[in-house]
Amino acid sequence: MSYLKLFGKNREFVSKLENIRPRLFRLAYSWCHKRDLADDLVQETLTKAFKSEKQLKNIEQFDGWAFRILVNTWRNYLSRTKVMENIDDYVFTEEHTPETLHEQYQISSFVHSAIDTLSQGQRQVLTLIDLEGMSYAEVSDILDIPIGTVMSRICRSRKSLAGKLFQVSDNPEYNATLLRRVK
Amino acid sequence: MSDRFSDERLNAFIDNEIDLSEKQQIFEAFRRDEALRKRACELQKAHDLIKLTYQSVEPPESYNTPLRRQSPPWFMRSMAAGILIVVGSLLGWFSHQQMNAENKLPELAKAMQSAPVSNADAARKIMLHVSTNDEYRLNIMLEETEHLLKTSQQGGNKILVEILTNGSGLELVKKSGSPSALRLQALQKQYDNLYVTACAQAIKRVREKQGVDLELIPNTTVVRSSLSEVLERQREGWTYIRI
Repeated sequence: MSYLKLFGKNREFVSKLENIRPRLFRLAYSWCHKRDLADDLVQETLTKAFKSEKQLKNIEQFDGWAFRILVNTWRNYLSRTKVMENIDDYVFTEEHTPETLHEQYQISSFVHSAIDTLSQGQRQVLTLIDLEGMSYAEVSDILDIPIGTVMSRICRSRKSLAGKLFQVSDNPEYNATLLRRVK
Repeated sequence: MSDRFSDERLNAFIDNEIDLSEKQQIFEAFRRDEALRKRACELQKAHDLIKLTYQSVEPPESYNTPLRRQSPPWFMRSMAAGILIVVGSLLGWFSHQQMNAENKLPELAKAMQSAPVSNADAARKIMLHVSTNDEYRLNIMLEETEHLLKTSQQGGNKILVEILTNGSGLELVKKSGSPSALRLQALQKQYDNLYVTACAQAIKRVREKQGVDLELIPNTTVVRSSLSEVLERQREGWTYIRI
């Protein structure tokens, strides 16, 4: 009998978890830019969320709560694996080779490489606000940082991003005439 | 001129984090200051590009399958087992009482007469005992009840449903305009085979505790005690479900 549902896990909680899955994936992906790693982070987040369902006092605050678990999972991953940046790779991505220039004109990879130059803290603030539409207060709560830090990080990261993204229009190669009529 | 508003203020403007009067000031400044407009526009574009880029990222296909359900936690399972033991003991106790009654045979005959008859014409009788005000549980209960009444009506089957409330469950019959109470009232109007009862003892306790008389939704019958109502209904062959 379906009254037995009452003894099962809270359905609302499970359906909210299912709905937030793609959003968690996009957010994780925007931080690490690796699909496999983003998937692993989401799986770990879901497992933690299932285990600590009782800690969620108000279901209205579900989104912030789930994002906070993802932030902690990502933080643990970083401290566990001690990600190192290879200085050679870094130089290569900044080089203006024909290949990289061509890729950069494709907008998504262009944004990716611009995001890659931001620090982890700036990246997290920027994606939580721009992608997830969280308020400054919510982000301050999720990342456990003062609201002033949220404001300065969003300001610095957007300015740096705007600088990188829109300098392309000043790039002479970008503005060069691609078709020339020859009489 | 364009420096009058810092980047922090412009970003807060884009993220809708400033109040209306400050917004008006910025709009006013936009009208006169082209450099400011350009700065705000670039920040806004950066904001839009982030959204555009990552929203088009498709999650893995496995994300379309529902999450595997976990089995209920141990305490829920032990609670369910506990309820089964209590119901079993009650049934055992009453059949024991009947067997030991002085007029054994007439009593037994009477009990059998009132026991459910398994022919197609007999009405199915279900008692739902509500002692919680958990909106989620109440919603499921009302949904299931509506479904039951509707399918029985459509299939021409006779059914009687009684919703008995006590303790926190009184919230359901309180004339407070809560969504569950309104839904129950609507169901009552629609089906005359749905009875709603409330425990007098529980109402009395609310009066003593809060000093106010509980106003109940119309057509709610007040029964002397929920326990005796449950026992009486079970003796009459009703199916008992505790919510």
